[in-house]
Amino acid sequence: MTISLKVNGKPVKIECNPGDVLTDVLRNAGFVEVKKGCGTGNCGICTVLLDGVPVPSCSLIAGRADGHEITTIRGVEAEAREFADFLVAEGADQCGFCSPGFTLNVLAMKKELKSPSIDEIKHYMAGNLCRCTGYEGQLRAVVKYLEAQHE
Amino acid sequence: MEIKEYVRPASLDEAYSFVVEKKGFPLGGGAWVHMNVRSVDLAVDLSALKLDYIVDKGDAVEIGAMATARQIETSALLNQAFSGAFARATEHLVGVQLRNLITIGGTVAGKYGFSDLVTLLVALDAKLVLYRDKTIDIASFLTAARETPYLIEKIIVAKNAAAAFQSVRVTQNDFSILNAGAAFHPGKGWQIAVGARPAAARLALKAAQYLGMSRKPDEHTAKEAGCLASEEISFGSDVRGSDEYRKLVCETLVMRAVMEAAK
Repeated sequence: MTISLKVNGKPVKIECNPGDVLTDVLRNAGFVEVKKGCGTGNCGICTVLLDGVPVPSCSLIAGRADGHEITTIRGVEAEAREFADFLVAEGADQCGFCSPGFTLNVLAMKKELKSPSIDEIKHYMAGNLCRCTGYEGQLRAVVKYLEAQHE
Repeated sequence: MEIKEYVRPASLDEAYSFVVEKKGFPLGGGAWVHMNVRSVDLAVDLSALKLDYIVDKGDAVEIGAMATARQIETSALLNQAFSGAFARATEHLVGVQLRNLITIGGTVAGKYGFSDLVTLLVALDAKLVLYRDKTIDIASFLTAARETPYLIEKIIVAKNAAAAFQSVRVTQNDFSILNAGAAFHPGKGWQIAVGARPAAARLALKAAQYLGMSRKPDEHTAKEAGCLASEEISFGSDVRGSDEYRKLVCETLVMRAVMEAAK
């Protein structure tokens, strides 16, 4: 089937099997900024925004994205760069493989939760695994980034 | 999953025709579909049916089959009506992203053993409304083998029950090793469910009968109900825990659920 969707604001038509997962379909269409991790919806690396809501693209069958709007990390470049500065400042960038999905989920959390507590941040980000940082640096970066938004 | 034909009906009648008459494979949240190796001739995407609602009907809450786990987790309506039990029964399910995909209809239809939400729904005696078919209580749905296809429209939960949900797990976002739900239904008494046994939730009828019509049992009575539940429910072993461990944990989880619901 051919699915028609908007990726980062631009209309795209992609030929695929409707049962293919969106991660593969997007990557095959050139959106290689979407990374594939566990492939089971557990690690959060493949996170994209579906109509503004964070979802694991590895667990979203492509047919369902037909007619919808997908945002990858490239679609939020300015905000992602700003958040990346906080990650780097806390030494939490390391290999960077989880960063696109992590960053998209942070941006989704910023929209959804007003002034989240540490526990609320941990809860919201629990679906984003990182094998490098031990999470403390990431948490500091998120807290400082959210504080900076209020200044 | 290999899908030969994919449709996204815009009405329940159309969806009914595809799922029930043409025996298409219904796609609820679809979050685990990609791990299914089967090939289906017709997949029916239910996401355009506007079934993603949670609405107050006065004495009950109606939850559309396509309401997501995240909607349920964050629903002020559900969590005020049931003292946060719905949040407790959804918030551990992997991450926010996956909870944005997983639907209550898909969860119930899957009869997943690991489900926390299903256990709470059993305790709450939730009613499953099958479109152009019967309305069935969820405990009966879980135990009855059904040969013919069906389309879940919504789940109805009466608001007058006082409910609580308890679980034990290795990490916050792992599946439960065991879970328990308890609800006091005015005029009817207690309903207690134990799930992740690791099989799907079952009612602990003797435990509920023991509690009788006592709205606020003391700790000793709740503990005795927990012991009865652990005797009457069957448990199995898997990577998360042995049947012996589950049996022991059941006593305490049921006691805690009863005490919390009795508050």
